[in-house]
Amino acid sequence: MTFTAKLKSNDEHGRLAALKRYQILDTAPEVEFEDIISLVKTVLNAPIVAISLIDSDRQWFKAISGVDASETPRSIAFCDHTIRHDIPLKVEDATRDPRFANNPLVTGAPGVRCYLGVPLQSPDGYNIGSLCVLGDTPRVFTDEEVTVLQSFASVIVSQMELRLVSRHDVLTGVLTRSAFEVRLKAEFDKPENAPAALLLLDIDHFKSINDSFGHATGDVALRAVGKTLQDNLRDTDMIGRYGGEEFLILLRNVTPEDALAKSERLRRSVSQLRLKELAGRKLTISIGLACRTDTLASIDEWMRRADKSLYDAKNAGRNQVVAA
Amino acid sequence: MPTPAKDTATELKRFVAKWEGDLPAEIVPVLREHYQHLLVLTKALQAAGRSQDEIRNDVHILIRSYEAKILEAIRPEDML
Repeated sequence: MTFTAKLKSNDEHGRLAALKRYQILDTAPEVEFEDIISLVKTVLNAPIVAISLIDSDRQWFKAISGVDASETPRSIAFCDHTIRHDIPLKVEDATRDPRFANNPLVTGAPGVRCYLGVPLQSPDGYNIGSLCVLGDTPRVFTDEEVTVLQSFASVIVSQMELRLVSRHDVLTGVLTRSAFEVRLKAEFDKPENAPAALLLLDIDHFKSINDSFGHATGDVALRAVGKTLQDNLRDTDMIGRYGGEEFLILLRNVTPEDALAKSERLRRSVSQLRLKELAGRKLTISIGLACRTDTLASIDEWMRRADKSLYDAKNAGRNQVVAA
Repeated sequence: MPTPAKDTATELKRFVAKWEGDLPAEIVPVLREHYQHLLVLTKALQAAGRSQDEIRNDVHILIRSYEAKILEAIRPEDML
């Protein structure tokens, strides 16, 4: 695997797709990124440090120190200039730089005077954002400081890759079981007790697919089902591989009626799949559905309810949804 | 006397070796790449005048904070 590629600076669509691939926008603060900006702040003695990700119309901060902000319009972002090149952007005094002298971040709070930003380049060559330091006094950045910041930027990108790969099942592209469970726990622990539904589903007669067509075809079926399910979920929903041919789905902010209707749609979508590798044989799934209720004492109990419903769906003849 | 970069490299090598056996195969090359980037960072920090103790502490912080990610990637089913 290589982490260096030629910068693709004229492909905004591809750049945004590369950014979305990391599934990091609007996520909660994470200690590994907070730790990095804290170190950069110390090493470079900078009042403001940020990991800025450039979305279509905003810069969103995965981590920021020294300013209380989560995002700004892209139109005023220094980092939007940084991502257009594969070299660092140095601004010694923004009030004397025609590109930034009238920028509201310079003329108003936080009164930016100096800036150093290095691109965060994805392994496939897209600048998805920038690691930057800013200050409220003019400053000349040394070559050593630039090199340090570039090195931190490389660490951030490989950390994002690690985050992505460690959380996703390599075969189906959905979350791993452990990554799903971490997020499910976070959802369950939310104090507001938001409405949600947990689906445990299983590909019907999967063993006989493996036995009849071989494991490579079984993998094709798993990938196809995973993709179909993902394609039919909202960005706010979550899907993971529970193990073998079982998947877990969390539907957020749904009523029990909506959850049932959504589950039916997922079941139908899979039953409409036609894979040439299966020589005309239909793929179907059984789904056990359990909505979050006030009486749920634990995640284990939630899982048990979904599991019991799945068991009932299997016993009732498969290719159906059963709600707890 | 060992240089900070060499010292930290040994430490990092041990850390990667510790996890490699248990990790899903697809994660190992990403972890190795990350390790390489940490090594480059170590050298950059050294060139910028940071002391050996400070660098060692910096790397400890970075390792500690992504160790949780690595643990998350070790799937119980892979360890059976």
